[in-house]
Amino acid sequence: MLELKNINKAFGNRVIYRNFNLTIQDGDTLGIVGPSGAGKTTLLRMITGLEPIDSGELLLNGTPIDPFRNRADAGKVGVVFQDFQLFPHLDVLANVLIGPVYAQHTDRAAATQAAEKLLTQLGLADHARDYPYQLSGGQQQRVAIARALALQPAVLAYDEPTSALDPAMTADVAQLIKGFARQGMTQLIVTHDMPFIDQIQPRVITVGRDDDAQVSA
Amino acid sequence: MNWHYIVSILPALLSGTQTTLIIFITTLVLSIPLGIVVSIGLRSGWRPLQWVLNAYVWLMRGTPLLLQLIFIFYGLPMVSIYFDRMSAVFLAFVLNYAAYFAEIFRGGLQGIPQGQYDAAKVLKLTPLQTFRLVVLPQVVKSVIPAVGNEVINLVKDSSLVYVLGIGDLLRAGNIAAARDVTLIPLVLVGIVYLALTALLTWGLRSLEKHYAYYR
Repeated sequence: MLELKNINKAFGNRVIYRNFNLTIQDGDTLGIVGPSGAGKTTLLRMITGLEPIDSGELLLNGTPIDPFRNRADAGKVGVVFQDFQLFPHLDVLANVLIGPVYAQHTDRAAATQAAEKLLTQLGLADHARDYPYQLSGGQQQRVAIARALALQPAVLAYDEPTSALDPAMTADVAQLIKGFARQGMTQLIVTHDMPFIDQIQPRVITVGRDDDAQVSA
Repeated sequence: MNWHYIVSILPALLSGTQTTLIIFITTLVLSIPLGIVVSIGLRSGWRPLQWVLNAYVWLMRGTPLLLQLIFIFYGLPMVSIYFDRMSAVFLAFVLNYAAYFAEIFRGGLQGIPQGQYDAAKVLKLTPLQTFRLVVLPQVVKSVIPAVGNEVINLVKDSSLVYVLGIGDLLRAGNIAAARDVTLIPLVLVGIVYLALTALLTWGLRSLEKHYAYYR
C-alpha cells in the first residue's frame, strides 16, 4: 500500500499540492487525470523520487520512504516514462538488465534468466538483441515496462503512456495494463487521455488546473 | 631524386618523428581524461569551481599555444618555477588541449537529455554508474568528430615545440634543409605529417563506424 500524507509542493509562489493525501491499495490500478499543467506528472515525479516533496510523508506498506534522497528507496515505484527514455546504446536485454545487475547486484545469469522471462511475457523475446531505434513505439514502451518491472517495484507508474502511441498501440497498452491489474499489480497511470482511461476503467482521481492547489483524494 | 641523400637524412627525420609521436601520445593520453574531469566540473553547479574552470578554459583557448609554451619555460622561472624542456612541453600541451576537450565534452554532456538521468535514478544507479554506463558511452559517440579535429590539430601543433629547441620532426627537417640547402627534407617532413594524419583519420572513421551501431 502506497500512502501520500499531507503532501505539500510548490514551485516558487505557485502551490501545486497543499496537504494532499492519497492511498493506493495493493493491487489497485489508479488513474490520475487532469489537463496539462495540473501537476499530474509532478505527483508522479514526487512518488518516484525525481522531485523533492516540500513537506509530508510517503509511506510504503506503512514504512516512510524518501526516494528523492535515499537511493535504497528509489525503484520501489517503477516508472514508464512518457518518451520511454530507453538507453539507446544498449540493446533491449541490456536495458532490462542494467538495474538488477548494477544497482541490485543480482547475479548476471539469474538476472538474464528473469529478464528473458519478462521479455517473453511482453512479447519481446525475439527483440532481446535489438537496439531501441530498431523497435516501434509500442515495442519500446514494452521494453520500458520490462526495465521497470525487472527491479520488482511495489508500484508501477506510467507517465502519459499513450502520448507516443497510435490508436492501435494505445489499445494494446490498455490490454497490457488490464492484464497486469488482473495479476494484482499495483499501478498508477498519469494521463489526460480520457478515452484511454475508459478502456481500462481504473479508480480515477482528477487534479485541476486552477490556482487552487490539490487538496483531496 | 637523390635516394642516397634521402636515406642519409632518414635517421634524423625518424628521430624527430619519434619525438613528435611522444608529444602527441602523451598529450592525448593526459588531456582527454583531464578534459572530461574539467567538463564535469563546469557542469557541477558549484559556482567557485565553475568560475575557476571557466577562467582556465578562457585563458587556454584565448592565448596562442606558442605563447603558453614560452611562458611556461621562460616565464615561470622568474617566479622560481622551473621545468625542463620536455616537461614544459607536456604541461603546456596537456593544459591547452584539455581546455579544448573540456569544451567539447561539455557540449556532449549538454546533449544528454535529463530523462536519461531520471531513468538511471529510478533504476537505482549511483551517479558514478550513471556516468559510466549511461552518459559517457553516449557522449563519446557524439564528440568523436569534434575530438577528431583536435587530434589532427595536435599532430600539427606539436611542431610548435621548435621554440624550445626540441628536436621534433619539423626541426629535424629544417636543420637538414638549412645545412644542405635543399627543400627535400621539408618535402619528406610534409609526407610524414600527411601519413600520420591519414592514419589518424582512418582510425577516427573506424571509431565512428564502431559507434554507428545505434542511433
